Amino acid sequence: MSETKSPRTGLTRRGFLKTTGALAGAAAVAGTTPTLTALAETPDADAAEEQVFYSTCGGNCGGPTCRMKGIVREGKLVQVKPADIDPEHPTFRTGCVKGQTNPQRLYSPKRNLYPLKRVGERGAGQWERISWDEAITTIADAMKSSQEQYGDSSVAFWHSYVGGSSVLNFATSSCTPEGTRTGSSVSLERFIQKTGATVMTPAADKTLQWALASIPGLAKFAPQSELVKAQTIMIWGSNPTGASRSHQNFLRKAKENGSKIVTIDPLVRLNAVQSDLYLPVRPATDGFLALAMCNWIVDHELVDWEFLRDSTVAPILRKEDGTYLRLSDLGMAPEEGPVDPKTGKSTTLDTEVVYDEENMTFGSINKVAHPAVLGSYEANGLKVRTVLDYVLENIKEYTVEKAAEVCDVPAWKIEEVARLYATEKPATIDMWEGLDHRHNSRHNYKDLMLLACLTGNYDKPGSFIVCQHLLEGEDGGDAIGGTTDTSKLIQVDGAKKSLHMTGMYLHEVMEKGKLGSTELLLKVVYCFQANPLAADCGPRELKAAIDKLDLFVVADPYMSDTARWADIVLPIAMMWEKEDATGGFTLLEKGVEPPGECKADMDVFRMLADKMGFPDLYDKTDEEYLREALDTPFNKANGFTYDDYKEKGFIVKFADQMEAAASNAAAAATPKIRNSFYIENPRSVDLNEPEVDREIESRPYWEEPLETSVNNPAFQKYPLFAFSIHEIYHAQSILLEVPWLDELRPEPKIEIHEDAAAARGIKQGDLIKAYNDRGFVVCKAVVTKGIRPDCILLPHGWQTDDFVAGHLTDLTRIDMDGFSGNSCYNEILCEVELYDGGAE
Amino acid sequence: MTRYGFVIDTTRCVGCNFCSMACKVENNLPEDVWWSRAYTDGGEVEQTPSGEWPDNLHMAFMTVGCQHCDNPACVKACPVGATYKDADTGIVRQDFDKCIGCRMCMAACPYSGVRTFNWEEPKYFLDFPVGSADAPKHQKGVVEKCTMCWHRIAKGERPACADVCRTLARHWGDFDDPDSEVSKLIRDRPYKQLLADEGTGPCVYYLV
Repeated sequence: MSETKSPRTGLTRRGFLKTTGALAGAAAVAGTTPTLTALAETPDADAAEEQVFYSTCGGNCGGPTCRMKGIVREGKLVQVKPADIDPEHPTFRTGCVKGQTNPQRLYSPKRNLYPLKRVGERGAGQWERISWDEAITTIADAMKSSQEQYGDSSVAFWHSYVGGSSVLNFATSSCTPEGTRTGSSVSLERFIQKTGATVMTPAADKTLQWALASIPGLAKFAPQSELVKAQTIMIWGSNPTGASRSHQNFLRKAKENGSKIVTIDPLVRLNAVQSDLYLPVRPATDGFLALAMCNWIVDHELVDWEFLRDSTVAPILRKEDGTYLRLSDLGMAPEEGPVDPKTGKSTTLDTEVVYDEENMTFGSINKVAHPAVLGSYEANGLKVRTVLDYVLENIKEYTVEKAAEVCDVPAWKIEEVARLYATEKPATIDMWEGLDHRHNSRHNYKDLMLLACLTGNYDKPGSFIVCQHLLEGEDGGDAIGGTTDTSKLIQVDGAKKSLHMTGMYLHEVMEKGKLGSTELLLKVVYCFQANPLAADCGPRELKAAIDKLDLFVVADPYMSDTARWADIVLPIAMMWEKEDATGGFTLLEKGVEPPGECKADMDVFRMLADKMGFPDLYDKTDEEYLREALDTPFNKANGFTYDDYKEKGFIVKFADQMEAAASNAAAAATPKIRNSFYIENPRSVDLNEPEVDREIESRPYWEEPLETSVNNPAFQKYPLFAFSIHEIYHAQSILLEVPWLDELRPEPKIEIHEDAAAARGIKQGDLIKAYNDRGFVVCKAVVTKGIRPDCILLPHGWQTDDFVAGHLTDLTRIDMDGFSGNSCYNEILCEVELYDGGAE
Repeated sequence: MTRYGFVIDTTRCVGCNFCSMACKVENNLPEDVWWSRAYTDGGEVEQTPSGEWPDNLHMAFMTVGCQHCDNPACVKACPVGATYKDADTGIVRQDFDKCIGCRMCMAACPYSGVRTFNWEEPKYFLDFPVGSADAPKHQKGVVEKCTMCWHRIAKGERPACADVCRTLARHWGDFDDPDSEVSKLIRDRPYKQLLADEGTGPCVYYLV
């Protein structure tokens, strides 16, 4: 405890000595802790035997992770519980069933405690303990020689999300279709700038990220509190009663206010049961359903023309090449733009052109008051028509009748949902990333934006598409955090340019030595904050690719499925074992010492830099980095600085507690963004150079999925659509092998409809094998009424040891969406049979 | 007088076991011991529905622990007075030191599953106690159950499960106080009690 420096001495324990258990437990304590005798003599003293620290659960459920309160006794983290309730905001709560299990995660016998070197076959589990010095020397030597021989890009750092993002340790990569990558963690970014090494980015959450960067207006996320303003709520692509924690509070409030709730999902969870209408849509056909609803709304004259005209891209004139008509196309002078805050100079804009119906002329979309929303024109010799005109003609094929067949939902339900959405307003789509895991997923966002814009159900109170499912929602609006700025801290003098690619292209790069036309000879890969062999796709191809590397290093707190495949494993400190800050959202306090020889990622990067020959790369202490990152003008004005956090540990603020002027100014500075359902320049976030068919990529569209289609010949042999979800007890592979959680959900299970089970002779609890040509997995069956009969639910996130045989990921395919870089986790057709227990 | 108890809104509960885990950690419960658990009222397996797919499905959740009855069957059954109803709070308490392990309370209680008998020395995953330092000590050969976090209430705090619920399904308070939130809730909303016919007078109300 002498290592910890919390100024908060924690709880009063008047009853402490009355408890025989505590006496017995404390008897072994030595060192700086007050002795029992001393405590007994001063029973009323505020015993300092407990300390309070704040951090986050680190469970990687997909959100920014909940802030939690940790109790430390005798140097051990003994309890992690929700942050205290603010009496003024009683509905603000944090945590879930998972986050409280941190003590078991920290003190698990499965922690990696020492650096390990592989001594047997790859994956055979034969290791030799080595010193940190040997490990870092081996890695640094391999990196240096690789970069000398094959170039800077031949060394790569492969990360996923794990801790959200943070100032020091937790890496993040935000990639745009313009080819840029933004990261903010000091440890990785300074190393990349110094060495020019490649960054292998996550393959999850990419569809939404790509869509946000590609579709103007989509980024208008709503806080969960907005739900209660909606008269109609379509839960679509989200798991509000399983993967989200506070969402049900808002759904029920909406219901109590009389809202109609619709669930569109092949899987039944509580939200589907509690909905007024449930549409068990066939997987991968959601876009078709949305477009059929669009057509029905147009045919029934329920279109909000005014909203389309004033607030969307509908009136913009589209040239035949798919791009927008701009002022320069007509020889018109550019328009005056806003003043650039950096240079202080005014800017000019070559704005999009619309047709002015009143004056029968062409003009800037920013100037014409009554632009035509439909129509074709000739402008300066160019054939043009409004975006909406083009879009509506091209979606005509998606009729309700065809949707009933393709989506396998009765036509009356589709019509009723379309009617509700178009007439019982404000109406909203309540979505997270549930539709994002297939090859055709990127199109959904255009389709849904069209549906929202056609009905005027967007960008208004109670009308949105993407809802902040994973934040710590509160009735008055989501809590407000501070800011973090590491942009200067990550700048290295003479920074080298580096490449980045979605990590899941590894197999392609190892095979071809390039991605697209960019040469990339990867030799050393350092994987950290990621477990792709358990949580991503195509493990066979990934393992083969890893085999071709000169060195594969995995830095992980646990011997994960990916760590098992490494040449060197580095033991990493977990939450509560290191100080850091995630966004301005919270300080991650250090409450206990890491076990064994575990080190924070930041410390590992410092050691690596040292051995690589640039000991001055990290020019500040951890505390100096944290101070500079947190002491932004905003944080100083609003009480989120490093010192504020050190003093209070936990800070939560709500909109009603912030300086009104600050938020108003921020709102005023945001220029109007016309909501779009069209992508003028469709591009990939990667260097893979996919072929761009504008007729498909620009407009709302539904594309046959890569695999999960009834029209796929393989469907005859593999007639079950398989998918997975984030659920209550874990999301990815982090929260596995936690005994407390295992008592609640001891093993992975496959959910199968009772009819599908009966047809295969499967009974409740039987061991079953799900398989296709790529592989198989064996685990217990849950026979349920709560899933489409042509679907099964696979248990995502479990690791090799958890399955009776095989692995869920063995069924997955390596192919990604070529534009967003999202893995196709749910492009799986398979068959299921009773497991005979035979050798596989 | 004070009569503490819970109101649980089954229209809100998602069966996530957040409250169950809060109890488990706070009270340093041994391996396989849960004083409260979420049960699915639906299909055979947790989080699955009953009924007809797809439009006539039923699923709801009940978090069930000791019902802290007004007329507890367990108290009458206990031959040594180890189980008793605390007159000041209405909490059904147990004195582990008096308990002789006869398990008559378990047989008498109509709410199966809310009690555990420690046949062996309690086992723990970690070699140090977690949760509250003044949580009750678990002993071999005794019956245990929800204490309503007596150790917290004694300090003026609320039970560990009371305020964690992210869907605001769980409420705790004094039913003898007509102005308490729990009293208002059962005045304003339809509810059911578990096995109300047994005459035990459970102090856990389930809003429906």
